[in-house]
Amino acid sequence: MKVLAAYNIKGGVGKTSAAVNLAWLAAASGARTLICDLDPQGAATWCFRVRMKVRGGGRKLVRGKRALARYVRETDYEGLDLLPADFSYRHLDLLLDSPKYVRRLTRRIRELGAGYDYVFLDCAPSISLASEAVFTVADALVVPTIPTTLSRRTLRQLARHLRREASAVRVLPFYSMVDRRRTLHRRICEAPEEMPCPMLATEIPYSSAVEQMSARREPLCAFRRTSEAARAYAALWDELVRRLEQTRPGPS
Amino acid sequence: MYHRYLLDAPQTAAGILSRLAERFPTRREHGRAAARTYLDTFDWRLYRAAGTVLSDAEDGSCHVRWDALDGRRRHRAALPSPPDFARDLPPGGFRDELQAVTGIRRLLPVVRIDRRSERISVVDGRDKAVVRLSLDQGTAAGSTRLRRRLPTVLRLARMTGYERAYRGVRRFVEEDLGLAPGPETELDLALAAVGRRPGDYTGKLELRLEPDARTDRAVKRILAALWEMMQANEAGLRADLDPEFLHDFRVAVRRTRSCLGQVRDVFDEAVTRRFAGEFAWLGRLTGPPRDLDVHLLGLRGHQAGLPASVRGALAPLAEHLKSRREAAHARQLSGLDSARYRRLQREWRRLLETDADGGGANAARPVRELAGERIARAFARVRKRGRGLSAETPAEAVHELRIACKKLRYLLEFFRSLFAAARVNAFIRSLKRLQDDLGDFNDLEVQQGELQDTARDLLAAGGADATTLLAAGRLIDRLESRQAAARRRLADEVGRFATARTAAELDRLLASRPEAPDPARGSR
Repeated sequence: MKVLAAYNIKGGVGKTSAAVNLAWLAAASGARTLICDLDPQGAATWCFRVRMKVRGGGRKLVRGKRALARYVRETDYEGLDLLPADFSYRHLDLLLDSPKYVRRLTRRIRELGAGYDYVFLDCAPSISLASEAVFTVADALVVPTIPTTLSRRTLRQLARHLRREASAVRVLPFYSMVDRRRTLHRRICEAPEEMPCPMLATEIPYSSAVEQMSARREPLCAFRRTSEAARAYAALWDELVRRLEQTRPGPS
Repeated sequence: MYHRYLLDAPQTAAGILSRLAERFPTRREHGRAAARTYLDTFDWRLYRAAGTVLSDAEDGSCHVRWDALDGRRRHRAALPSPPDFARDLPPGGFRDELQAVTGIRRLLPVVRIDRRSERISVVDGRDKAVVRLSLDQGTAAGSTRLRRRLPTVLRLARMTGYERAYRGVRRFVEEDLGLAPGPETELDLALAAVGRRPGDYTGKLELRLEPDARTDRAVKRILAALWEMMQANEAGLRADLDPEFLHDFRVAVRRTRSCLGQVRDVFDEAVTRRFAGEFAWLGRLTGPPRDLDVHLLGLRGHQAGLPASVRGALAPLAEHLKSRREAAHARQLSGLDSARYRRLQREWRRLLETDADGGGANAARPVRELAGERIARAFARVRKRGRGLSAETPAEAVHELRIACKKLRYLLEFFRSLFAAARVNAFIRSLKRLQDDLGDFNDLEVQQGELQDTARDLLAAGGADATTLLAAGRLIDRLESRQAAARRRLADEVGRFATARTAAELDRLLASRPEAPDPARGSR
């Protein structure tokens, strides 16, 4: 089992689009895949047309005794399951007030993921106690990053934070919502060495097709497989699989 | 989880879909046409492990999946073409778990289905699928091109998290549409259509002999079953599909020889001598490729424990063995194509098919009586050979003990149905532990010799450099120390098995009677 978290401190950067499409691609390749929607906005849950409801809410998610498997819903796509979001997740941090509960949430996600090849976490923006659990349980953070100065700054904040906490999670950022017509986007994409950590080679272009996902309530890769953005997600998935197979470079 | 319902006629299919659509909100999905091939090993290892691997060729791609027989999905993978072996799958859980079941056996097509599916989903208020339904129609083909029509099947698939909706649809299908769920899986239906039975080959002897039957008749049944086993494996052996065809073929040859040699005076002496000689020839013919198979498989296994650099250095050895294996296989094939083999086939079949008196002194005796005598004698021989076995016993003496054990094992297997199954099974298990250690010891002995010979050959042919020879030396050292450990274990095992206590167990076994046969299971 590999746990990948679509994560960024900043909001509106394409986390849900990445999580939903990468999870769809993983399932389409034959892998048993689960996507956990941890964002109280429930955008991933919406995209899969699943009711946004977890009985007992965040409290049961974190502190419940019964296995999380009972909340899982099979999506319309073979091999792809979803743990839906609940609006009460906005109070998740209050429930994670002791390290004991952070550990418990981590353990519960890991137990749930045991029957899957890939588990994707669609995380809420911000850096919080819930993020601590994500950093612990995930093998890698897949970080969509818009090529702007502010995004670069938040990526730096994240890298610094993980270093300080001596976190073992791998950080795999990629350029998201890239608009090559914009000078700033071009400049930042063309100077990856100025980024605080090495970027993946694949860029996801800015695309109105991605926005249609929420209207159609389907992953982009499912309804417009040949669009530029869908092809970019497919390339991103291939690159991620390759990177995950590589052993982690040792400390330099 | 799913339920399947057989429909009587295709015209009811459209009616069923429209009635479902009247009762539930539904969404029509893309129809599917797929050429589906069910795969299994020759000896049905997947089916026996309650699973099935199938490959769907669809839209130019190939989806391979491993499902449990009850429909639970285990693994799925998209591949360029169906895998020949488990090792052809990409690294991961699918490959590792499949490898554990199929081992070195090739995945062979069992039955091919051409299927068209009409698919609809029952949806909720969000247009989210909550139950999947499909109507499958198609044809099946086995090893020939002949296609058989399959019954139309309505399949209901439950979706995780939507169990209540599933119950509702199922109730409608069963109560309102009046359909009854069938226990048959798609594989069952397809196999029945092409006239095959799952598990129709096994490497085990499954005979039910009558205790009072004449020995010559009983022995002919045993020999006929072994002959059938050789015939079943011959095509795979010739095509060299995987090493197990040759292995099973040879086991049947060895058992035949053992039967002729040990269950004495059943046939006319000249007949026994002649066929014993012919099967010995067949054994010799198929021996060299099998030895090389064992050596190659062993080399692969031993390499796994060595550092990568040494592993690489051993590659020329493996290559050399492979080319020797090819030559040995070619020689084996010309033997199987010879007039001598054809004559053996013809005459042996004639002997097994006649009802005439075997002609030997024991031919008319009740088989149970003779079986008891022979088994007791074989055990006495094992005890004699095992007596005084120690760490210093020469390898030849260990080899003789191994042969004695094998003969005892074969006799127990031939005649197991004449005694209480639980006692025979327990005794065989106990014997098997000793045989495993004897086998390990012997394999390690043979492999060291083979490795030395191969290295010498390679050196003479100028195909080995110093690193390869050093690596071979290192491997021989390793095998030697493992052999020493095997011998220590062996002495303990012999001490455990070749005792008066085991002899008493054998006496009880030989006095026992088989349980009444289960009428549900047919006999062969």
